[in-house]
Amino acid sequence: MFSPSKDKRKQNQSLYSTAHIIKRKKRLLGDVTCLTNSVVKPVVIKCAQNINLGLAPSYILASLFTGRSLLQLLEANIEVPNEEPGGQMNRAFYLLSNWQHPVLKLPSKYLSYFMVPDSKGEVLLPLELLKAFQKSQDEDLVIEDLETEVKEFIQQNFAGLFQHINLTRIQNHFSHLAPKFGLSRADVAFIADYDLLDNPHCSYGLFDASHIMQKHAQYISSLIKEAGLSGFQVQKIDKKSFFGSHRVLKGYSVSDFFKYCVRQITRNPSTHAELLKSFNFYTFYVVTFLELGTLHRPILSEFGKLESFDLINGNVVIIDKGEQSYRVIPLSQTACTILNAYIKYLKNLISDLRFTYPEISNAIAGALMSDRGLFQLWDSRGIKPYHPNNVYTLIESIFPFPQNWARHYIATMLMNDGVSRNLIEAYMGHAPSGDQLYNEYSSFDFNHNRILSDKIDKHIIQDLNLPLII
Amino acid sequence: MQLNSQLKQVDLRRIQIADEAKEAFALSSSFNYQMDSSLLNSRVHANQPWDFEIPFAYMSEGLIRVFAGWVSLQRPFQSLLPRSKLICTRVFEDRPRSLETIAWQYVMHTLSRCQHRNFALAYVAKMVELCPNSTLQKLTKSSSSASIESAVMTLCSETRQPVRTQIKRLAKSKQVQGWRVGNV
Repeated sequence: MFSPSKDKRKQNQSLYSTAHIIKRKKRLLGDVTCLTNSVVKPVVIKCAQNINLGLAPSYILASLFTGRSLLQLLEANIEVPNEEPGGQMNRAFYLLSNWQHPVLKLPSKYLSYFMVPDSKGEVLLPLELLKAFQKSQDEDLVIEDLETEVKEFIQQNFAGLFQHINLTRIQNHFSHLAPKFGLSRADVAFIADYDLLDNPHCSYGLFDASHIMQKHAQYISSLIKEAGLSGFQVQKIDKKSFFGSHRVLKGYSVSDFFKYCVRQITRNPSTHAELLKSFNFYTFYVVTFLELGTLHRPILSEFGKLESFDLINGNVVIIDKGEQSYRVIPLSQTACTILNAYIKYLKNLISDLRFTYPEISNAIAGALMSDRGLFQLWDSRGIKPYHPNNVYTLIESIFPFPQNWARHYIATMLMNDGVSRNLIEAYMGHAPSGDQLYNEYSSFDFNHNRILSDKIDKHIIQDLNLPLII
Repeated sequence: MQLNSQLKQVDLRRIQIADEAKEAFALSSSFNYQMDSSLLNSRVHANQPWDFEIPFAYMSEGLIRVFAGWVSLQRPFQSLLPRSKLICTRVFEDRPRSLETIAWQYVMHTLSRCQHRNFALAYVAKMVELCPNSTLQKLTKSSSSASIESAVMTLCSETRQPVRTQIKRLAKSKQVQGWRVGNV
């Protein structure tokens, strides 16, 4: 009876295993448009060799390296206005947009973008490529002309591979291979510069992009090494590179801010002025603490009425920017305790003011009965709904913070902690209700939000060590 | 003045602290009342001719404006107010000229009767600080305006050191420190 030798069996098994893995991999990847190495390798070699012969080779390389479309690369030539764009296009997005321009303009500080680390931790810089890009700045380009030029270049140089290569496949190569180099979906979006407007939470974060650039450099390095190219200049990456929101504070600033607020609050105030100041600062303290935990937008009446809070189950309904922003956000145990202490304080205040300022006393009683917003401010003219503008004027000379700092601060903390951007998006109220992501991450499975809430609470209590009025 | 006043049962909803007495009321609201008479500071003297057992008030614009004797209207004692919402009040026919003086005299009276000795001097100092000069001169029966510490020393026959110590202690006790992780 025929019986294959042990070696043969092992080899078969090995072959079978490999085939199985390939099959599985194919099934998992699921995209047949992905270019193979056998296609990419000659493209990289040919383009690198002909880098000075026209724009087509440099654009093909840029698209392969960054995952950007030709249109995106061309748009990088558009002049950016000096003033900060308004509306939804905030400074963070402006910074990110600005970041893409160096691909073409290449000021010296962005040279590291194309640096490729070698085994010694140093980097290779394809200078020829950079020079070609710099040269391209001076020429007026039309997208159709360039597309035609690129297509002609591909046809002329890769006749045998022509049916495999098109502009979209070249562009998609980076996103196909990115996971292999540890680049997340958000990292790919950052480098390829897409999806930014659809994910406004990206603009809330401040992050060190040097990690992304390192991983990205490894991707470029692998392409160059596979192509067996040489003659690149060696440089080092030694600096961190921060991108994103300019509204993010340092932890100690947040901590100092809360300590200052607490110092303005007097226990058993002896004068009307002390009473008024304590009330306003205590309210400010509670609102800011809740904002940190829930990422409520400081736009309209803060947190609405008391009925929005469920202190037994620990959650709050937030509608801070129209119906689209409706979401249920969990309240941490600390937040519930602080809120309960504040409610007790308000109840005492109702009694204290009953015979001196009955109108104020009645207004606070109204807030506790959900006749008006829970958080109110008190000035010489009486009680009025809490508005951040009114409070920030009290402290802006000491803490010139931007109003929306709490959302920027926590979003940055979560992003740098590796929390999924989709979860942050749902928590911040950026995903509209009814949206699949929102349903999946917020309403449908509340536990995701609870995990985030606990994470934020832990940061507030342990890392920032904020003073708690409980 | 007492001849022109009447004892009346008045509705709580009509009661309001007189504007001129609001600061005095606010100060006395911050007192920590001491019910054990052995812990009172006997050195705080309150030489006043009034019997402040019930609120003193006058009527104006349909409201009963209380200017002294308000202890039953303060938070710790509000739960003891009658369910009928009627309380006995001494209502003066006209607004007394020395209303403000009486209000501060009442604060002094409360301090001598209800204030723990650890903070009594500090509260007298607070009272001297908040009380208008003319009223203070009537209370201390002196024509010159002395420093806060000196005024407290005169009023309470105390030396400077305990006055200073108590002022610091009170300021510290009023500060909300907030809890830290270790304290929770």
